[in-house]
Amino acid sequence: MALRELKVCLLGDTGVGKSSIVWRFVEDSFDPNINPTIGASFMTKTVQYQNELHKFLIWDTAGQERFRALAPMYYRGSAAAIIVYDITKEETFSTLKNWVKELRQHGPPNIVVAIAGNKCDLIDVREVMERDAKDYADSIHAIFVETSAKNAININELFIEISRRIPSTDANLPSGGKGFKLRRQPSEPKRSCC
Amino acid sequence: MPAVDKLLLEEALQDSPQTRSLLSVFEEDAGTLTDYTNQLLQAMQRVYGAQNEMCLATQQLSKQLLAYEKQNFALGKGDEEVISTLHYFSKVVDELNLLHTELAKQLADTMVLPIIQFREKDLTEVSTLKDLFGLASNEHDLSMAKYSRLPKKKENEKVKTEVGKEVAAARRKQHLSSLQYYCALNALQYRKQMAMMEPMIGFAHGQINFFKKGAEMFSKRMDSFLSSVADMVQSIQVELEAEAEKMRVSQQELLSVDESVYTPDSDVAAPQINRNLIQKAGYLNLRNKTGLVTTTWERLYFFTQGGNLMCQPRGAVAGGLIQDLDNCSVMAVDCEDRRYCFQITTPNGKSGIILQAESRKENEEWICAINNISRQIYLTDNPEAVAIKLNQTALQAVTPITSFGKKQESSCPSQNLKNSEMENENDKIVPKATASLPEAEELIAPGTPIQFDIVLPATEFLDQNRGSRRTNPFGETEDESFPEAEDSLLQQMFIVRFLGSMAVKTDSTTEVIYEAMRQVLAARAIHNIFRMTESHLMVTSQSLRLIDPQTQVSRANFELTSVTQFAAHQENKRLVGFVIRVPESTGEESLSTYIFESNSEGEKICYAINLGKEIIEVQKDPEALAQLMLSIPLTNDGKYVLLNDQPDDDDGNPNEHRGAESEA
Repeated sequence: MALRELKVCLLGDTGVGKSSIVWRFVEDSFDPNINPTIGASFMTKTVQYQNELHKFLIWDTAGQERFRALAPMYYRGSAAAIIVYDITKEETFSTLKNWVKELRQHGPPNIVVAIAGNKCDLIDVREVMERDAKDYADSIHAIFVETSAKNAININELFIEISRRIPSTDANLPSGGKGFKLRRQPSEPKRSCC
Repeated sequence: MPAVDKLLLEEALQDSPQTRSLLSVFEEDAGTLTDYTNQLLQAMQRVYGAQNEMCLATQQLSKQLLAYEKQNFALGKGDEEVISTLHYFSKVVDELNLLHTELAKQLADTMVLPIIQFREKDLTEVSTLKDLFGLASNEHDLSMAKYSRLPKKKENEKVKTEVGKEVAAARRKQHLSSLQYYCALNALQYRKQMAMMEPMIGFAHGQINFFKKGAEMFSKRMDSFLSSVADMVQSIQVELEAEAEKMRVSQQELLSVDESVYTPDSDVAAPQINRNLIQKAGYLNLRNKTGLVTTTWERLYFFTQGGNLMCQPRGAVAGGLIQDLDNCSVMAVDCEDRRYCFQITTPNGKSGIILQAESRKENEEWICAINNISRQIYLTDNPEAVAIKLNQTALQAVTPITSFGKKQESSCPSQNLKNSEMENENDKIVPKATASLPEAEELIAPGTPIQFDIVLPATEFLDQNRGSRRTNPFGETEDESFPEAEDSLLQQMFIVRFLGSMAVKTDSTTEVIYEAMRQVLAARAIHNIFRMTESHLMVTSQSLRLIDPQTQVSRANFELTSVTQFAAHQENKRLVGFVIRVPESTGEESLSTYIFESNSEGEKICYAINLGKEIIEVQKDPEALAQLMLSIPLTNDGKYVLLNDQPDDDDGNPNEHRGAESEA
């Protein structure tokens, strides 16, 4: 089966749940106390998509403003970018729009943009209407889902949709991830503690 | 205009030497004029060239100003103000460029062109006429000479008239050319003055025009813009100064710290260790095996993220996963004579990576942090609090004996400092702190001391005053003899390393062994104890014996019947432990758990112990014994059980075996 490596980067304001989405996808677990990402981290997960294996090389960036200047290093050569906002924080949605703008200006030309409205389990304190976000996503031809890393809602679906959107050419260039020890295999079922 | 010297045309025909001399003065003047004109033209062309260059230069400047936007500066994409200002300046420069271009054109038309024309037309005419005059003069001289040589004979009349005509023609020609030449030279005196003035008028006009237009175009319109830009620059300058001051202060602050910041391991004597970390980051040396025996150590940046240990080489833009820490065990180890090494062992018992910290504090903090993370407390609601509680119980569990007492003293104050509140609370109501782990408390009393050494002088033991709670099974081994070993049906040897022993409250469940394993490993990690005594564990159907591998002296002997529980760690199969029930002198019974690390699978040891116990059971009934012996594969001499050939599923559940047996 053909193996394709897809570089995916996560962008978005700090605290919107980028790392949690990665964790849910890669390890199927959720850490309620996850600390702000110190450095960017790199994880992989291989999933089957139709008759191909898609190995997602996931670059989880630090959302803090002071690391903002590093962003181009992550989205350079990315096949897809997941821009995450927090549905309970209006300003994270504004940040998202800036990210879209930056990607359009400086990102790879054919990058697949996915917008994830995270923390959709907290509908009581919602500030961003799903309709508005969806309309915006449609206007820029981006994938849109509301997700909950905590309750594992739409996380896998998000990546499946990215697999679907990525043009199935054979001319996939192996992208970016150089010099890393890639040991993480598709997530194993959690072992019980003694 | 002052009177000008001139050549009198009337004297042209006479062509006297005096006139010729005068002519030569005029010629000299024309020559000087030609030289000067060439130099002047060069100077003017330079000005024109510079002006032309100015056009090109302003054009390039304007283009370059616009290019700022397209630079994709890695930093400061928000330079919108600078970009728009530069756009405006670029427009200004474009307009300026127009003026410069116009000036250049004017200079070309009104300055350079006239002087070129003067040179090409007037000076060239003079020099041409000079040549013609010279030719005509020569011709006249020749024909005069010919005429002068004519003989007096009459018959030559015809020749005479011919030569006379020739002379007349030559003289006319010379007269004509000399007249033209004289006129040109005379006119040159006037043209010379004009030729010098005209280009300068053009030059001055061009410049004036340029400045006039420039003033019109810019002075008013630019003023407000320039002042606003100046304001902007000013405010940026103020910002810079403020920032520079801030940086200076913070730099001073950062540099005024204690020298200890730079000195690795400066606080080795009494490090302030935070044992409640659930996250840590920093540089560590990673041991890489490069060959069978060769290794390299690589200094890399490590950080924890949830339950993962990530590693980011310098120059990499993201850290990659290096080890999943969930359920791992971490332990200080001795490695290649390096200090501060610790090893992370995966749950399946594979010894994972070996890392080296740069100081004792770092080493212990990493061990604690990984230990905390490995228990997955980061997934709980308040991990810091849980970590504090866990470490409290661990510290209580570890009241190290003798040599470790000192260490305990040194690490306790830091604990007090960091968590004085917790500590105080703890002092008053001890049960509350451990309430979160009721299970562990039921199994092992909090604060039970752990024995890390298998051999200790008996006196030290007596000093402990804890005799009522634990026994020392290692004391009297020398006196004992083991005749039964000779004819034991089972005799199996394992290499084990003693990790620790502690008194426990119950032997009703194997959980007590797991809890003891945890506490022993945690205590070893916390107190940085990595030395382990290697022994041979001899399992026979009568006893468990620990034998010194060098001297073959028994270090300890346990009756197999007193072994009431035994188990291998469910995930780290190298860990094995058992509970010994021994009667005390007081008449009570004491329970102790012993924890070992083995080379072979711990389950094989469990299987051997189980087998030994089965043999004890069936020995009462010879038939059952025979039955059992048939089912066990023996070595050729029939003495040793071949454990290595046991199928795996038998290995897996030693406890079930035992349970079934005791029921029968």
